[in-house]
Amino acid sequence: MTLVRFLPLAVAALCIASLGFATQSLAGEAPKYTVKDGKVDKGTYNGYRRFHGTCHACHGQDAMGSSFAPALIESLKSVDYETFVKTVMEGRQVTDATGAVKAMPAFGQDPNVTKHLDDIYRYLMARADGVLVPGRPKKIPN
Amino acid sequence: MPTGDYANTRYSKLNQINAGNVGDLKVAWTFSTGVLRGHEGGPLIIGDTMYLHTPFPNRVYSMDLKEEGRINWMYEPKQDPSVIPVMCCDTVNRGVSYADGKVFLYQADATLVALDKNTGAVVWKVSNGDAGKGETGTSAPMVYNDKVYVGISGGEFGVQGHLTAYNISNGKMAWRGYSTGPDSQTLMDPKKTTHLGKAVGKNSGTATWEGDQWKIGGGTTWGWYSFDPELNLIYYGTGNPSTWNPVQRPGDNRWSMTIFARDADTGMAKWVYQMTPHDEWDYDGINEMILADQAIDGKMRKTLVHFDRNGFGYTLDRVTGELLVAEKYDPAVNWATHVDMKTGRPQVVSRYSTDQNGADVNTTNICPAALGTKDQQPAAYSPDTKLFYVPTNHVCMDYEPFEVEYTAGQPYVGATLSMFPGGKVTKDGTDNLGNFIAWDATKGEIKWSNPEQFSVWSGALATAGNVVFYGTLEGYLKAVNAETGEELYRFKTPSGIIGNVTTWKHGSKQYIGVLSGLGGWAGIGFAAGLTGDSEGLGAVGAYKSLSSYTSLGGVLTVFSL
Repeated sequence: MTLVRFLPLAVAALCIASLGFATQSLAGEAPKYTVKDGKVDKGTYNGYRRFHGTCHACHGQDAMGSSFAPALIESLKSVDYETFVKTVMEGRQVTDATGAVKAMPAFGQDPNVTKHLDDIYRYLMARADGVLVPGRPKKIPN
Repeated sequence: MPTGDYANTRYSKLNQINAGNVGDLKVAWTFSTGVLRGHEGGPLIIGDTMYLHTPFPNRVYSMDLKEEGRINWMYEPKQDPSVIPVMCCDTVNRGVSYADGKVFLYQADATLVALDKNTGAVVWKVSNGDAGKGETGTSAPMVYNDKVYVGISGGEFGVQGHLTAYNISNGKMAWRGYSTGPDSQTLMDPKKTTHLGKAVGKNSGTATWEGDQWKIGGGTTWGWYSFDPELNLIYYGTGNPSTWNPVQRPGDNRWSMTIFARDADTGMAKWVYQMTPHDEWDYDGINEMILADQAIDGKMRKTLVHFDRNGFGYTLDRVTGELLVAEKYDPAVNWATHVDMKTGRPQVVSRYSTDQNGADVNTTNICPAALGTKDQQPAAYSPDTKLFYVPTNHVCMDYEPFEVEYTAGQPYVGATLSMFPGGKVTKDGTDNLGNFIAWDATKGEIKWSNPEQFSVWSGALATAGNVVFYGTLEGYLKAVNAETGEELYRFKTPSGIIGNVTTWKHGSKQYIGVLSGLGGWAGIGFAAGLTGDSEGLGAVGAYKSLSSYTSLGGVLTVFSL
C-alpha cells in the first residue's frame, strides 16, 4: 500500500522538480498560512489570486463549490497535503451511481498552478479551517 | 434550427396562447433527460418529432409528439471524459439543427456529427477541433442553404477562434474563417473588407498583436449565428482575446470582440466592427445578432441589433456595417462613458481600466462583471411591438490581472475576479442580480425593466399573442405582457432555468417548452452565491444562495392551454 501510494507522489514530485520548483511535499510537511486580524501573509494572498485565476471556474468563488465540482472548503478538511498535491498534479475521474463522469484535469504541466501550489494550499486551508471569510483578503503589511 | 428563424428573432406567429388566456396555461407533459449538468438551448421541433439535446455526454433524443414525447431513438456519442474539465463553464450544449433528413449535433469534444433523422445512425462526422488544446464544442450548429456552420469554444485556453462551414451532404469543409491571423486565415480582403466604412488593410488580424500572440489570441465563436438570405451574409460575434491579463497583450487585438459579416458561400468577410478593442474585462462579443428591418430617423434600414457583454446595445446597418446606435442597456454600466460614433471606440474610464491600473492591482467596482450585462442567453424581437426583450445580468466586479504562462490545453486566464450585485456600485438600495428588459433599438432606450432576484440566464421568446416568455434561475417559467412587462403567469419547474423558451404547434394546439437544469456559468455561483454577504451590503438575506431555491436535474416541461 505504501508503495502504491508513494509512486504517484514521486511522479508528482518529479513533475514539480522538472519544472524547477520544489514544494514542501518531499519533506512531508504541509505549508502553513498566517491569518492575523483577517489579514493574510503574502503566500496565502497569492493563493487566493491563483485559485481565482484557474480553480474557481469549477470549484466556485471562495472555494465554495459549484453545480459541478465540490466545495474545497469542505473537501480540504479531510484531504491531506500529499493527496491534495497528487490530485492537482494528476487529476481525478469519478463515475457516480448514475454512470455520469466527474473529471478534474491534471495540472502537472501548468506552471500557473504548479508554481503556486503551496500558496493555493495555504489559501484553501485557511478557508477550510474557517479562519478566512469569503472575499478578497487583505495582506499583512510588510 | 434552434433559433426559430434565420434572423434570430425568436418570435413566433402563433397566438393561440395570448395575453388574455396565458394565465390558464397547464403542464401538458414533462421529460427527464437523465443528465444533471447545466441545460442550455431548447428543443427542436420538426413535424411530429422533437429532437432534444443534453449537456455532456451530449445525448440526442428523438421523441414522438403524437405520444407525449415517447422516445423514437436516443444517440449518445462515445467521448473521452478528459474533455469535461477543459470546458470553462460547465459542459453545456445549446442544441441541434436539422436539414436534409439529418440532425446535426456538435459534441463537447468538437466533433460535428450528422445523424439520420429516422434512426439516429451516424451519416457522417468530422472533427472541428482538438480538445487536447482546449478546443471544445458548446454552441448549436446552424444550417443555411447547403451548409452547416459551427464555431469553437476555448477562449480561456488560448485557442485561435474560427467559424467553419461544412457541406451538409458529406461533411466536407467548405471554408474556415479565423478571428485572428493573416488575411489568408481571416478570409479578409485588405481593400474590400471594411471596418466602419474603411478598408481594414493588409493582415489586420495580426497587425495589432505583439509577435505571434494572435496564434493563441482567442476570439472564439460559441454564440448564435444569423443569416440574411437576400444579402447571403452570415453574422456572428467573436469572443475575448486570450489571456484575461490585458497588460500581456498590447494592441487592439483584432479581430477579437468583433461583429463579423461573412459571405455564406465563400466565408470572405464583408465588414467587421470591433466593439471592445483591447479587452480588459472579458467582455466576449459572441452574443447573438438579431436581424430586423427598422425605421431609424424615419428611414427604413436593414439593421442588426446586438446586446453585447460590455453593456452596450448596438444597432448597425447590416448591409454596410455602419454604426447607428450604441447605448447602455443597463444604467449601471460604468467602464466606458459612451461609444464614439465616428471611431466606434468605447471611451474607457481610466479608473475602471484594468490595463491602465496595471497587473497585480485590484481594479474595483467595474460594471458590468465579466459575465456581461448579457451572456449567450438570446434576446427576442417582436415585429408587433417593435421591441427587443432582453434577459440581463445586473452584476459588477473587482478584477485583478496577473502574469500567466501559456501551456497548450491548460487554462490561460490571468485574472482574479469577485462579483457582486450592481446595487453595491449604484448605491440605490437594490440587490437584484438581473433584469428582464424591453428595449427600443432605434433609439437605444429601455422601455420597461422587471427586476429579477438572480441573473436572467434563459433565452426569451416573443409571440404574436402579445406574450413574452422567459425562465429564471430559481426555476420559474414566466409569461409577461409584451407591451407593459406585467407578469401574467409563472410556474416553478423542477430546476433553475438556463434554457431557451420554445413554442410550436402540434395538431391544433400551441405548446410552450423549456429545459430546466441549473448549471453553466450561473452554476458557479450556485453553491456559493456571489461575494457580498461578508461585505456589509446591508440588505438582510439578499444573497441567499440559489441552492436554497432549487437543485440540479435536466427536465423538459411542456405547457399548453
